[in-house]
Formats: sequence, structure tokens, C-alpha cells
Amino acid sequence: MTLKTSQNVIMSENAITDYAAGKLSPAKHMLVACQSEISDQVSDRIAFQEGVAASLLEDGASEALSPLFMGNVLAALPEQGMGAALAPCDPAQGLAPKSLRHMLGHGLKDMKWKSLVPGVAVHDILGNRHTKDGDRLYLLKVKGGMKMPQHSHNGEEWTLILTGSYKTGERQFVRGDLHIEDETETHAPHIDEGEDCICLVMTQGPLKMQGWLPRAVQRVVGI
Amino acid sequence: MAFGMEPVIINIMSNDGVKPYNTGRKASPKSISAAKRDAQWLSAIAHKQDARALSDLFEIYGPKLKGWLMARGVGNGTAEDIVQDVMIKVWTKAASFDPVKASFATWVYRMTRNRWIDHQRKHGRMDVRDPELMKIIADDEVPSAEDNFMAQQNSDILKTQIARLTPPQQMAIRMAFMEYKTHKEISAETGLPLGTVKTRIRSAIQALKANMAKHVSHM
Repeated sequence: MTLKTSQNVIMSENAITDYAAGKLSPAKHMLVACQSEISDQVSDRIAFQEGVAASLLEDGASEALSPLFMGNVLAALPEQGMGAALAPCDPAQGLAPKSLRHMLGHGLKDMKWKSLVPGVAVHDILGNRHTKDGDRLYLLKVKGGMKMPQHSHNGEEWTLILTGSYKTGERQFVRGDLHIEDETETHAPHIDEGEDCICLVMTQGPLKMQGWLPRAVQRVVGI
Repeated sequence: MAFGMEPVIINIMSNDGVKPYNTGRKASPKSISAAKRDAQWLSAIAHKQDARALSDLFEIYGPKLKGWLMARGVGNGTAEDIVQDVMIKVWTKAASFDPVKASFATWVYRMTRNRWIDHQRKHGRMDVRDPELMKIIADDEVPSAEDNFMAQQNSDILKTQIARLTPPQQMAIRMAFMEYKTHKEISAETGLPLGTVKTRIRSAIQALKANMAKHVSHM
């Protein structure tokens, strides 16, 4: 397996527009940046729309820079070549997008997971999964073959699949797909047999579990 | 440019002699495209440490980028701080700019947008688990070679093609990129159902892509 996937990946055109326009929250922006590293098809779609945004810049409102701005910046220019180039992708670390590896300081193999229930583990990146105060970003690892409890959401849930795959209803999600659900949808992802499914997940509030057992478990473990 | 900064420029310029972009600057606006002019300035920055070229670029783009930020509610001081960060990044990374891959306008827009997202993360209510995240969000890679349909000559075609869209399509594109409003807010303001807002934006972009494909041979 390599970092890039040449498959057609699932990605909403509206999400690409919002990314290009700079309308996504930091957590969602990060998720789409990771997806664009995995899929050239997505990075091409983004580049097109960034080109549109950049050409519209010319028609937008101008705000004059303050009189001293240019002189101050020019007087303080650092030496060129100071922006060190980022290390090229390490093929051995293949599956984690570079943005994610930089953020974690390592690849997916060396993760320190926090186990929630047997077969399910998380690693928090931004925010707090237990509260309702905005977007949160975390990695979720679920053992192959497991069925997640039926749930819906308090807000949106964005899931980027990094390894493995799962089905929900008739739809299958594989590496590189970005699965977006809103508060109106209920689903119970069924992880395909075999490989662990590792996803980068953004949620906006605790999941709404269906059934008393998952709810009781949720109270104990969070999510 | 007339604000008492000439000595600074002269100091920096004094090692360089002739300004390499001079011919481009004197040319009539019709004889040279904005994208080509920008690429020449970038090359002067990268190869001749030409600070004058940097200030020329930001005389044009600085106010536009500041306007873009302030339209999103960013205060005057913060907007200038972000533009300053981007300007310094253009200076230090000019050598990695490849005009075949993207126009300067796209590159500088992407940097400014990413800096702004990063600013929101730092000053928002996010509970930051990892300060390293700042580096990533602010990381602005030059796009991959596959993006070359946005190459400099095509950014001019793109402008023409946006102008040729139907008025409702142009409005949809403007709503998507120019106004800092969510689809829900646009829907409330226009009275259009949310799904319709999303569909209009999507189909306007599809139309633009299709028109571009007709005019750009290698798409």
C-alpha cells in the first residue's frame, strides 16, 4: 500500500468549495488537507477551486495597508532559504498523510492508543470528545469485523478513512473516502473483516447512541 | 510607495544592480499578463534577492489579501500581521514557487487562507492538544504537478470564463468564495432552500470547469 490512492474517493463538492473558500473550521480544514494528500483527484479539485477563489480576489474589497507596513516588513526581512524544506515522505510510514504525521510526531504504527472498549481505541488531537463546545478531532481505531452501535449525532460527523474499510447500509467506505453525516442521519458502521479500520474523525458533540447498553457504555467511556 | 521607505529599498537593492523585472513593469498592461508579471517578480526575488520586486507584488496583493481577511471579520492589526507573515513566507520560499504548477495569486491566496485558519485555531475555543498543529495548518505546499491546468496562462482564461457565466451562476460563485457566510446563512438571506443553495454553487462550478476544459487543451 502507498500513501496515494488512485481510486475514485468519496468527497462532497460543497466541502471542497468551503475548503477552498476558507470557510471550514480548523478541524475540518485539517481533515480535508489530509484527504488531499491521499488523493490527487481531490487535490486537483481543490486546486481548481483555489484558482477560482484567487481570481475573485481581484474583484474583492481592498483595504489599504497602513503607511508604515511595507517599510517595516522590508526592514525586517530574514535571510532567504530560512524556510527549511519539509522532509520528503518516508515510504515506510506510507499510510499516514504528512500533515497527520507532523501533528502526531510519528506514523500510525507508533500510536499510543487509549482503549475505550475491547476492539475500539482513540487518540485525541484537538478538542474534547465529551463536550459540546465546537469541533473536535481524533483518531479512531476499530478492529476488523466489529459492528459499531447504532448512533446519530448532535452535529456533523466527518470521517476520513485511513486504513481498512466499513459498510453502513448499502454504502462502503474505503481508504481516502471522506464520509460526512449530519444530525439527521443514523448509522451503525460495520467494519469489514481483516484489517483494523483507522479513521480521522471530526465530531461536534457527543454521539447519540440508540439502545440502553451503548448509552450506558458511552457514559463510562465517552465519545 | 511614497512613504519614506526608499532608503531601505536602496540598501537592499544596492548589491543587485539592474532590476531584472524592469522590462515587464514598463510594458503596457495588455502586452503582459498579470500572471507573467508576477512570475517575473517571483523569479527576481528568488534569484536576485530583489526586495523591490517583493514590495511591488504586495503593493498589488497586500490590500486585496487584507480586504479578504477583513471581510471575514479579522481586525485591522491582525489582518496586517497575517499579510506580513505571508509576505515573509513569499520572500523565504520564492525559490520553491513554480509558475508552471500554479499562479502566484493562487499560491499567495492559499497561504493567506491557511494562516487565517491557523489564527482561528489559536484564538478560538479549541482545546489544543498539540502545539505542533500550528506548523501543519500553516504548511503551504506548492501543489503537485497534476495541478498544472491552473498554470499561469490558464489563470487569465479562468477570469474570462468566470465573466462569461450567466448572472445567476456568477452570483453563486461569488456567494461561495467572496462572502464569509455559511450555506445556512445564505439560504436564510435569499429565501432559497438550503439544498438549492448547495446545488447552485455546485452546478456553477461544474459549468466553469466544463468551460475551462474547452479552452485548456491538456485538461
